[in-house]
Amino acid sequence: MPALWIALAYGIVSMVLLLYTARLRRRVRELESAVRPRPRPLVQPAHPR
Amino acid sequence: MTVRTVLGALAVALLTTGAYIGLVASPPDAFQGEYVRIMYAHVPNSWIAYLSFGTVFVTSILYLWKRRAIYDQVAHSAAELGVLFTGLALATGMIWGKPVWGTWWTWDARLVTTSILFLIYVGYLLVRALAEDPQRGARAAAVIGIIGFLDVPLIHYSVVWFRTLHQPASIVRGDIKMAPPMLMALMTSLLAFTVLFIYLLTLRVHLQRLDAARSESLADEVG
Repeated sequence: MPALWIALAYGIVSMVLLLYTARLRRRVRELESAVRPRPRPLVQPAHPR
Repeated sequence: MTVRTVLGALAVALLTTGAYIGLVASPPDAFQGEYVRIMYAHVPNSWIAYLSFGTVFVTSILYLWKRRAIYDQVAHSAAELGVLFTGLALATGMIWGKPVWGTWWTWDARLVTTSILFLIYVGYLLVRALAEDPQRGARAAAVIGIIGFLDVPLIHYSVVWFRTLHQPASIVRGDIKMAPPMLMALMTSLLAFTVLFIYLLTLRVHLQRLDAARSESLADEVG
């Protein structure tokens, strides 16, 4: 029986921390790509119509 | 490779080592038997909760004094982590309490003061989330962050001042009431969780800064 309680405690802690870290890392990646300046087109007309 | 990546890898390595020592290498307790292994998951969560709210306390004072955004961003990030780790400390405490004390919950001074701490900082996050003016929300949250920290010494000394079911501290000012292999397991877990906390805090603050930069660029586009 002790193994069940120990597994429950360690399972909850590791699952919550893994999910929270994964969520933070995903959100950082999303925002890093959102705030990165967009590359300008390589070829542009000198006098756009 | 950034400092944050190194911190993350170090946290994973230390957590794995800590789990191995706590679950396999350390001996069972003479009274609690194998249940003592829950301590290596429970105590580090409580320690990080204290550390988080200590960070909120210091950075909130600095924010009210200097009004620099970075202090507010660190306080906000640490408060979120504090709520997370307090929740985990309460959950692991209940899981430990059921087989050892025979109950999930009791109206014990340590348990009640810890639950109050959890609710104070949930309130801190709600004040921030619901404030229409972010500056005003940050100031109100800083005041809550400072006052809320007064509960931490109350929690720590609750097992001394009140008659409680919760056991008193095993390490008090150099007086260690713990067998060396158990102390080794606990110290490794405490170190692992501290490195994890630093990693998560830097990641969360980085996210706050990215969020602020995106809000500014959106405002520029609209303006």
